[in-house]
Amino acid sequence: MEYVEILRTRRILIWYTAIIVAGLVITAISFYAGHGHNGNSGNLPFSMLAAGAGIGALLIATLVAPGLSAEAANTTALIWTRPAPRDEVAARFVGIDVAAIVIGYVILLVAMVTGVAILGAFPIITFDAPAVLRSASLAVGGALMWYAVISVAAARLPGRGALIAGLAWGVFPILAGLYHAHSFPIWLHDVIYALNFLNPMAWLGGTTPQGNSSIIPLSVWGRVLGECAIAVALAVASVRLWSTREA
Amino acid sequence: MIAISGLTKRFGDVLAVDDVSLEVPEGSVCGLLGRNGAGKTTAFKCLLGFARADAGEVRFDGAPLGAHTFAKLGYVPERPELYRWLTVAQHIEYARRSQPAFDAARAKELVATFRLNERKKAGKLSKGQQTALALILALVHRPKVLILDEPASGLDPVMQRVVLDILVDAATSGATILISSHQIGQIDRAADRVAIMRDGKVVVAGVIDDLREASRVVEATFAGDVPELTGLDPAMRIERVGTSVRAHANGRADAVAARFGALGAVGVRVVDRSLEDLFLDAVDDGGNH
Repeated sequence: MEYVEILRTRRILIWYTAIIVAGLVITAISFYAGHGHNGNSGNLPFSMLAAGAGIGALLIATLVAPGLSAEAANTTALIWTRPAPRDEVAARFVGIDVAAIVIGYVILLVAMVTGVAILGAFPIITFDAPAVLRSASLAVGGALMWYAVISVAAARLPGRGALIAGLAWGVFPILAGLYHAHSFPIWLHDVIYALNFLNPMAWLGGTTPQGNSSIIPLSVWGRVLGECAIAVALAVASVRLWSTREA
Repeated sequence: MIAISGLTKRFGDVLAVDDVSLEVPEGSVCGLLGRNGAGKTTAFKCLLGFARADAGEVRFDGAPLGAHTFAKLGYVPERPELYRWLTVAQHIEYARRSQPAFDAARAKELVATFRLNERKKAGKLSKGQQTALALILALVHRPKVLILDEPASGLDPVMQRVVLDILVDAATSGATILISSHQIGQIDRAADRVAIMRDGKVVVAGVIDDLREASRVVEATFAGDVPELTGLDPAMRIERVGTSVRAHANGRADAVAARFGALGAVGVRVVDRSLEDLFLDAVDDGGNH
């Protein structure tokens, strides 16, 4: 059953990797066609790269999340006539998607390091293991939550998954932005605040020396745990909704 | 064997499937007929668990529907459901990975029979070829139960014949087949049983030969006025037109014909009725066919 999802995510990852490699090639050509020299001053914490690679995980999460919705729209007769429980089929899909998200994260992280090396700035990268682990966990956890929110929203909307995934790139930042606007009545602000607990973007954001820049008032590890817990709960809900819907 | 009892499915105020009971014995081919919207596809969806029945029960070989049922069940939907971006070979591989009883030789044989190019993507196949691929996916594990919703739609006449031959072969090997089609000729050729649905209900069901026998009509012509028709079942439907009489013999055509002879009819003939006649009678809702 998961064969199709493996092919689907493989196709997504191949295109994703090809575009990243093309970007690296263009970077290299333009850099070496120019002066080909970098000052190598300052330092670049690896944890920043680990946080930035989260964009890759979010992109892959957006691309793979509509999978079950697409199955519901076009191929129910195929996928629901296999000798396996439907929730098991859906859970395997989710497992493959999660693996794809992590792979997407790693690919972009490697590409970012490669890009830095191409620019001759590799020596300025500094590695602080605890900070790297925090940033990576927060980024991947956010992407998993992103995936789960889209999945649960699309679970009973056959064929609408891609639309919902696309809308997420508008809705999530706007919702996070609205929290910082203070022109609303308090009750509305409270509603927006509550809604932001289901907004992966609200859970992201770093912890700086000036304090926590995230909307969610938890420590980094608290937010990582929160992201993962919400992701698991919503993924389970989406599996259940998908496997118990009527075709 | 497929046993359906009291199957009911309601969509709001609409009773799409109304207390349907039907048995298809092992090795039997049952044609499910009905006009568009009669409830055939909804009944299939309830059978397969795609839709939740409001009431009733379905059993396959005595067991209720479960994931295990699909290890020995093949289904072809009304509209082929395929991955447009996958090739024919990838669809076959999908079946191989998802069906424990997958038969590679059977798959090869079916692909050759339907002359499909294994490297072609499903989205590039013609409608008939897509139907053929859907059939292959339903047949590659040599299912004991086949449920087919318009399986020959889009196929050319030669391929329709091939499909019917495959179904008849499967039934001969002991498969139980429930097939819906608007092409009554196909059902007449492949099925030994029929169920006719109207407004969500099964209005006629049984062995086709028995139904035909029961529906034979005896026509008699008398030289003068039609005499009093004594000695006939008073419940029998009899139509009189001038000096002719038409009797719906309810399975006793020969006896009725003999009786008309004894009453002095100058001409008597027994008219066999086709499956199409039976269908049109069953779905007749007041002259709308």
